[in-house]
Amino acid sequence: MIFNMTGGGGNPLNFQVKTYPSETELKADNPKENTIGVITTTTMTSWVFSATEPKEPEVGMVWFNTGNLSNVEFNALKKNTLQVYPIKAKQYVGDKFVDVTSMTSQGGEWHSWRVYLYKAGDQCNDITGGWTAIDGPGGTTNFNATYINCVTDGSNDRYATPYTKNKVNVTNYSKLIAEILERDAETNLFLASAVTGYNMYGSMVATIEASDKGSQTLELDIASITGEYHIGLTAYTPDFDVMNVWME
Amino acid sequence: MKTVYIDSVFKCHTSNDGTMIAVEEEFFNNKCDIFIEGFRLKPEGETLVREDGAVFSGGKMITPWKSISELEDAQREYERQKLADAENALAILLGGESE
Repeated sequence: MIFNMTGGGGNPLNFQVKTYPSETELKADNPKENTIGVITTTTMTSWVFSATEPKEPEVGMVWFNTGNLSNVEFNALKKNTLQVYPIKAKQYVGDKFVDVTSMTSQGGEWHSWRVYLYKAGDQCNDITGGWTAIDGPGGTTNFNATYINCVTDGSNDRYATPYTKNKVNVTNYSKLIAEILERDAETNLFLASAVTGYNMYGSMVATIEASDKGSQTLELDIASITGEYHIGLTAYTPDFDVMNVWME
Repeated sequence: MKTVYIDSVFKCHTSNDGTMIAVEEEFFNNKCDIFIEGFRLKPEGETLVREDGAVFSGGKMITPWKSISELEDAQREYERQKLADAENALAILLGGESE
């Protein structure tokens, strides 16, 4: 669905678009429900919702890329007849679209645009098909009520690899992010075409390793990756928890 | 382990122009040059700033900067050629033994 507006009032729309020069100013605002806030210092000349890149953009146009899943989905019309699933915002600056940060005000709070793959115990089955694990004899993955826990008993082949049952389409997303608690070895966040256990260098297409111990956020650049892949985490001598995993 | 060379923006190379850092990395074992040179390897503790301004720091990161579908196509062609070469060599060997 393509939506193209250049402003103007009067209105069957159930949302509005506002720009802010910084996240600080955005969060200081308390706008009405379904306000989409775009953080940019470039004048927004128009905006469009589209699943594909606009062919003849004007400088300053903000393109809200839409998909079929979003944590900030909304009904675009007051009669509740047009559900929209925004996943990413870009603005035409110079001669190309560049990423800009957008948030949506819903329920009195600003929400970042994310597609969750795991959220505090919720395995996000609609997109992931649920999570499963391949563990070595010395490793164990526990799917607890609010987090995934991976441990070892120290015996041989001590790896644990929780991952999404489905391959997830990562096209249009530029970061894969996991919030973890690392207690020992270097946990890896990865994308792979097949999950076989621990050493998956034949099928892995991207990975980032945890650094140090403690709570941390792993952020993996996936901007050049299109298509569908399993997403997971793995470690040899595992001792880590996974709280949240999402794409943005 | 495969030795690759990373430049100042962490792009991987299969030969060193004298300015790069050599890194041994199991991820690139059995990978063709085209595949390797489409990747970045950011060592632990370093910071990568992507062209759109996104910042990546923390632990070691290995991720493509070229289209992964093109890299995977190149890798598949490389593996097909290796298999064909091996089969040809085997045919020659067996043909030699039968004589």
